[in-house]
Amino acid sequence: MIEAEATAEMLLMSQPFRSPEKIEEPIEVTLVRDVLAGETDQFARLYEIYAPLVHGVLLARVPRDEVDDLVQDIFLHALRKLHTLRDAKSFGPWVAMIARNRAMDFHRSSRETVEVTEQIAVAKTPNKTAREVLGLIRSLPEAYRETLVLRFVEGMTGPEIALRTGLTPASVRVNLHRGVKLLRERMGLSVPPAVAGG
Amino acid sequence: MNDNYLWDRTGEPDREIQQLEDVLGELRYQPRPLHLPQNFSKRRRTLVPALAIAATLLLAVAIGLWLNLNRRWNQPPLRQAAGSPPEPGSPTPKSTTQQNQTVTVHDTQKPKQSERRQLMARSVSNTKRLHRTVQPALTAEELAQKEQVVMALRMVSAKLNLAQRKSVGVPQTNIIRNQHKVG
Repeated sequence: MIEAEATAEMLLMSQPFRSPEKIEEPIEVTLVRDVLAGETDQFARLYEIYAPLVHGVLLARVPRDEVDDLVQDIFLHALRKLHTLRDAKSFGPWVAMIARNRAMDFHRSSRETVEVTEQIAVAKTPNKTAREVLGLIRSLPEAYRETLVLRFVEGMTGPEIALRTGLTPASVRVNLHRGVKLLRERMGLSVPPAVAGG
Repeated sequence: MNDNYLWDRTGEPDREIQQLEDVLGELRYQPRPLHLPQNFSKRRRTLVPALAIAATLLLAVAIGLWLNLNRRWNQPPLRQAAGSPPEPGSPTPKSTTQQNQTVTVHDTQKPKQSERRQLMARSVSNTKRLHRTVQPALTAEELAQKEQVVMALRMVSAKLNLAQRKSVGVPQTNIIRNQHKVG
């Protein structure tokens, strides 16, 4: 009996050392590698994970009616250009940058159309409150609006925003605090009391 | 305002933040399937550029090898260039100097004794240089002819220089500038 226990202990000790905290590869790294290897279907999972990020980045910049189509376009573009991505861990910041550039292109190409569409869309929607608050967020400096949209619209936490966008947690925290402060000031002027917290 | 709740939704919920979340949550992303076009084909990483580079390198190496071998094949052996292939029973030279002497001495048309000695002395003094720039295709007679041509060219050059000086005249500055050649 004692010999059996000793043998068991020796067997346990002879096993290779394993760190208690196993460093796992980020999921996007695996997915990007699979897609580049030819498994295009795996891109759907990347799309599922990062579509809210792209949606939030776009929503902070372009009219909502355009956002869904732009999200699709951006992911198709990302799929075509995925081989140019150097670090698979940076897929989030990379696709967010594509979204920002696409939003800038959108404003360059159709500035007048955007304004008309925005007005029509606001007039048709039954619940204006969300759009009005979103409009206030869009009026904030660019550094704050994206973080606020990701936090309040897409429901991400600060650490998630930092992880997905590639910003440092400190930057995200500062953006959140200053953005909320500015938003409160502006809401106190033009937003219904229910939203303003009154 | 509860900072923790704004940051990661921990701690006591902030009422204003919750209201913002409720209101703006209506605009949240609604999952939609990604529609890939029918004719979409992912651009695979092609090996064409790498293969092209590899083929170019291989071709360059092959051409270099071929040129090198071709030059070696076309280059006659030292003894063959001298014009008298060694007989099977003949003793082999012991030193490089002797080999050189053999190269220069053996000739189908044997030159005169004085000329032979002169050529031998020259070849012995220039052994290293000759080894570095081996020209085994030149026979002793050809070497002598080459020396004559070089000498003739030098003489012609000197005469041309003299004629130029006579026709153009030698400015004072030129003399001063070319003094290092004279001295």
